[in-house]
Amino acid sequence: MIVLVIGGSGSGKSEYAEMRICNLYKSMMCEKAYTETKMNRLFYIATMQSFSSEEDKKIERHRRLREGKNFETIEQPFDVEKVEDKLVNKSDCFLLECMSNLVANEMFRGDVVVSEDKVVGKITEALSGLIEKSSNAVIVTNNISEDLGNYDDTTKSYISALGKINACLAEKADEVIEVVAGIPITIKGEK
Amino acid sequence: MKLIIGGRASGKTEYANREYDGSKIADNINDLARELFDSKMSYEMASEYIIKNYADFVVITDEVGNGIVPVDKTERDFREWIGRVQVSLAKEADEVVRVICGIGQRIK
Repeated sequence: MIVLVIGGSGSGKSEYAEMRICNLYKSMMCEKAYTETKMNRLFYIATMQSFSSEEDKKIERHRRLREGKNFETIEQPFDVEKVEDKLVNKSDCFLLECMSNLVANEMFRGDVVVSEDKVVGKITEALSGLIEKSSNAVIVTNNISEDLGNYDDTTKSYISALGKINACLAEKADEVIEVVAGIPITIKGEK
Repeated sequence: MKLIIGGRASGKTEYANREYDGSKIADNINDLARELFDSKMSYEMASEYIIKNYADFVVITDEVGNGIVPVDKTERDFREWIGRVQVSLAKEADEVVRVICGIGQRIK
């Protein structure tokens, strides 16, 4: 089951995403074949980098949220394809939090801004790889495109890259859920 | 409490007037929320305050979190803060309606 969770800032999307991946993980644990091998793992792919105490606080809040939920955290602000080697079993589950940071980190990682097409190509390919190796994934992304949009070209290409990646992931996902004020709304999948 | 959430000018007020005719309507709670935020109130306290004072109201709130993260720190913090207030209000409300293009979708 591949679930894409989208929402605005402070919408409660992270709490919802964690609940979903934990339930998927539990249902995997219940399947006899996997309990016997005890091989399945639950990964949390964290993409946020800290540049100030503001990010530190956000990261800390997310750590507290997922405490005691059996997550193995992988800090992967970019090059998320590297996680593929860690996903050994089809029953492994992962939560990626979140796509907007990953896209920003890939696009603005050096002195030169990486082109929109390159970023979209790299990330969609990486995610396709991860999804192929693991049958349970929850990916958190942001809706960042519903304001006036009068930004500079770089910001516009960032918005556009994330939008394209979101659309691509939504196509591959079994479920797309929008979280509004903590309430999940089904955009794609069974209601 | 009944909560109506949606983007600016999405038709929330018209929806509320149409569907909740005769009810007390608090439009727009974001203005009050901003005052509470500016007085350095935590989102928990602000939520509690609104829940207490608007228990029998139809409360209308603007969704403001679906854009680019603001450069200004105060705006950035408010955007996150109001989001959490909205989650708390939605939890407490017996009905939540999301309005988009003038169409209300009952999500709770």
